[in-house]
Amino acid sequence: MADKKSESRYQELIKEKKELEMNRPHEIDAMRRWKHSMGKILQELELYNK
Amino acid sequence: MKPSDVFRKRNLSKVNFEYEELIGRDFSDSNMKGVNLKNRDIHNADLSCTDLSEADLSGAILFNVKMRGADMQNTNLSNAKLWDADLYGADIRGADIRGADLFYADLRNVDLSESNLSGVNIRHANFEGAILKNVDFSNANYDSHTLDTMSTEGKIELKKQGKSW
Repeated sequence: MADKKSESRYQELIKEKKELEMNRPHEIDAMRRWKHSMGKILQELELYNK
Repeated sequence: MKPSDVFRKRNLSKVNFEYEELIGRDFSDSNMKGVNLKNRDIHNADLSCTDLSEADLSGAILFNVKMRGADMQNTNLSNAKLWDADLYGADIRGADIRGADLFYADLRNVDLSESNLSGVNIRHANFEGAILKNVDFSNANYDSHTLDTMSTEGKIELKKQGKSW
C-alpha cells in the first residue's frame, strides 16, 4: 500500500514538473515563483533518488 | 532594420549601458568585450554568439537568457542569477562564477576550464559534454540530476568539493 502511494506521488511530481517545464514565465516575479515551485518539486523528487 | 535589432551584430564594447533598458533585448553576434553590466537586469535577452569576454556581469539578473556559443572567457559572473539560462557551447574558460545561481541552466558542451564555481547553485543544471578541467567546485550545491549529466572526472571532483542537496 505504502509503495503504491509512493509510486502515485512520484508520478504526480513528474507530471507537475513537466507542466512547469512547458509553462516557463517571462516576467521576473512569475519566474521567481516558477523557480520556487520547481525547487520544491525537485526537492521531493530527490528523495526518490536516494 | 527592426527597432529590436538595434543591438545586433554591433561593436558595443565601448557603449555605456547605464541608461539603456536591457530586458529582452537582442545582442546576438555583437562585440561586448569588457562591458560593465554589473547588477543589471537583462533577463530574457539574447546574447547568443556574443563576445562577453572580460565583461562584468556580477550580480546581474540573467534568467532565461540565451548565451549559446558566447565567448565568456574571464567574464565576471559572480553572484549572477542564471536560472534556466541557455549557455550551450559557450566558452567560459577562466570565468569567475562564484556564488552564481545556475538552477536549471543548460551548460551542455561548455568549456569551463580553470573557472571558479565555488558556492554556486547547480541543482538540475545540465553538464552533458562540458569540459570541466581544473574547475573549483568548492561548496557548490548540486543534486542527483547534476551528477547524472557529468563526465566521470567532473562527478568525482563535484562529489569531493561540493555539497549534495
